[in-house]
Amino acid sequence: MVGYVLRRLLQSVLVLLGVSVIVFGLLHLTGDPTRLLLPLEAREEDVRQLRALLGLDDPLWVQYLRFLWRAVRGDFGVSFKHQVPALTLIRQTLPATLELTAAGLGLALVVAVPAGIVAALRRNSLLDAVCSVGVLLGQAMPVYWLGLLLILVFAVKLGWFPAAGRDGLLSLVLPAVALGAFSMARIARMARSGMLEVLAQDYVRTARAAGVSAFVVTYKYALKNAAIPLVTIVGLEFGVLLGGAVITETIFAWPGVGRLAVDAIFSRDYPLVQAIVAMLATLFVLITLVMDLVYTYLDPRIVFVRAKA
Amino acid sequence: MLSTFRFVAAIMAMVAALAGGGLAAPAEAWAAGERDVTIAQGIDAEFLDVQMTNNIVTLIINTSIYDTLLTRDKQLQLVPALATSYKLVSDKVWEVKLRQGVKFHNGEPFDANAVKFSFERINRGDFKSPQKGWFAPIEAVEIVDPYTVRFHTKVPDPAMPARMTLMYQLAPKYVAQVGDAQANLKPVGTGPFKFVEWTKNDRIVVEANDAHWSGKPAVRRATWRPIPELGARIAALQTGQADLIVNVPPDQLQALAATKTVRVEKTPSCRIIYFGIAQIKGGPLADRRVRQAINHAVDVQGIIDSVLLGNGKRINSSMPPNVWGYDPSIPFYDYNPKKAKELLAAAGQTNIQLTLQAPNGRWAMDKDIAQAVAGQLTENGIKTNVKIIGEWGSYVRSVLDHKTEDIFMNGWCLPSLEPDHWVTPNLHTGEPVSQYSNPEVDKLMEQARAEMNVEKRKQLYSQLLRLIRDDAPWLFMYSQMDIYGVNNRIKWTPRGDESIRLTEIGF
Repeated sequence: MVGYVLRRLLQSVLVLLGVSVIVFGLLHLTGDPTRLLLPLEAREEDVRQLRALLGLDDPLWVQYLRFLWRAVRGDFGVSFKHQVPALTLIRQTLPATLELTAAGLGLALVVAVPAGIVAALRRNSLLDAVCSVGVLLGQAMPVYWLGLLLILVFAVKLGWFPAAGRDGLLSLVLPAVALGAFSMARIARMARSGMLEVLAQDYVRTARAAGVSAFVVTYKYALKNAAIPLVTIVGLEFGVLLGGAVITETIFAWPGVGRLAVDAIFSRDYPLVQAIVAMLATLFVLITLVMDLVYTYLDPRIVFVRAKA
Repeated sequence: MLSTFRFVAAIMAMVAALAGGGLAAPAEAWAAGERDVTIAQGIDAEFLDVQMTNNIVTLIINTSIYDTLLTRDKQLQLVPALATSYKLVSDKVWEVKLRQGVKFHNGEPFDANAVKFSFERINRGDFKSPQKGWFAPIEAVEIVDPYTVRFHTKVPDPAMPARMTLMYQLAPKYVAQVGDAQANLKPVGTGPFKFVEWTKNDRIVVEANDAHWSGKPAVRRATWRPIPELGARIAALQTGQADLIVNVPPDQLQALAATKTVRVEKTPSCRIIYFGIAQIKGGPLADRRVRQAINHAVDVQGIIDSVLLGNGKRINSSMPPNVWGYDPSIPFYDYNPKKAKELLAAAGQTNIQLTLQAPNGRWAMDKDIAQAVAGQLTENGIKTNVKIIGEWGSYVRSVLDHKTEDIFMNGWCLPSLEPDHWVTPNLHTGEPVSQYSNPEVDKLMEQARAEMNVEKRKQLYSQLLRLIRDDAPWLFMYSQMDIYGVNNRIKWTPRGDESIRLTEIGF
């Protein structure tokens, strides 16, 4: 178990290193940020001076090593645009994003898992059809469209929720629904097909034949086994949602890290983009790791198999 | 059964842990007091250290916290602020009398020392202020007595009063004590509003400074909120969450008119929209007749009426009507396809093919305007393709590197409202934005920006603008209409310099 975790951690470091190279390379391909930081009418000498101040005159590999050396010590540099340490900005905005992502995913789970199970148990019934249509809609609606629709109906027409901003729980509802809808659809579909597959297994039939009650068969034996693919999806969805929060945050004026990222990309704010990507990648890698550990609980065979390999 | 519960509990615990207690966000009520206002713009302030920015939205917010030496009233005329008067001592020396008895929000007195400090801070080598260029002609600030300063300029500079409207005053002791970084996070000025809080990308709150030299503001507390998405911004106005919103596009006016509690306010802005013609590229565009033909081949008023639904005001040359130096007697190019064809024939350019570049979402209906212009040019014998460059960074680079397509769309307004700032950066040979070179125009610009006699200066601008109009370095378009959505509970009308002054809001 410990060896497995260590190996996974080492892999994660390599992944993060790879991410850092790609991000660094891509960012520097997009061009010189100094022109964007200065007014349009700025003279060439001002541009040169600022470039030197930002350390952009050094060769690329020097800049990369400097970035890496500082990053491993937890220093991601100072945002070009905001002149504040990049990590400070992330610390200010990450809680809002995590709050939104967790709410979106929580909502998706609470709705989707029971819906998927019910649809599987009542296969080909009206309920199943309703769930299927819901899934289709959830996956087909782009988040910006759904977001604006939610604002129009629930903020402007009904006045139940605020249209934008982060002001307590009420303001979390619409963005969480908009963000969670897509995942909700995917999780429900996964829960349904997983359950259907498991319910058709021999051991379920055997349990039923042995006279075990339908409730125990469904929720103890079948659900636990159907949950394994679900865990994968949930882990991945969390990552997808973190990324998807970019659009949702922009629509609902949610002060999260996604909006910070978009803004940083458009203004070529290298340190900030690098810090945000590093942070999101770390988070994603950690979640994947946690999910893998959850497997070992759900299916003890997983660890043994991998540890031997 | 138990293990299933444990599994669900584990998931829940993980989700809660990742949320990091974020669910306990401050639940401050959005509904404001009767004399509180919420203003929604598209972006957050970049800095509350006013000397770190040249961004218009950021400056608007900062103007509530900081005062300048001079300012502009609603008609955009220069009026005293922290300076009570100024006079020319010699061609290159301006003497300025300062208002007495003014205190910064931290109690520190405002005096000549603060003026010297604020000026010198911008020019500090390690201070990354984008405002350096604004004050480049100033050599030094001399303290005559605690309430008198003299600005020494490198060259005669008639724009000094306009520059004084951008000289934001900072508290020297406070900044020295807390440092630049903290001065940005907890700004202290002498302005009509005091800083309360700043949550990045969420809100900036200020409260009335009742000790302000201009008197008690009617607004007690103001919240600036960045709401980037237009639909959400309009919804915030309709639901009463915002009292004032900016950048309402013309095609949304009808939707707003349907809401009884809100109204629309608009005013022609200092921002002009033009299509630069890249004369320095050579080829057909180097021929003045081709550039004139382009101006005759586009029905600008028709485009304003159909695409902007009338929300724009034609410009006759390179300056908007609300900037000093504008000459209303300069004629517009008339829409005259026949004349355009004659000019092209005379230039021997009857078969030209051009590409026009435009951004998407930078200015109201920019892409649609560009397509309409290209359509009319093509219809009238100048085949024009449209290239939309949606990402602003790439767009800017093409302009600054002088690698634009044949025709490029641009919008221009500088907060100084100084006439030279409409012509020199856009049209002087070798300037970053300028894709044009004409020694005669250069000479007139240099003369006009150094002419200390007001009447003569005005004549020079008239001459210059006429010359520019005739030489047609641009397809002259319009000055933009700034459109705001306003809740009926506040009394407010917009200004022509894109600014929003909290002191001009009543109830």
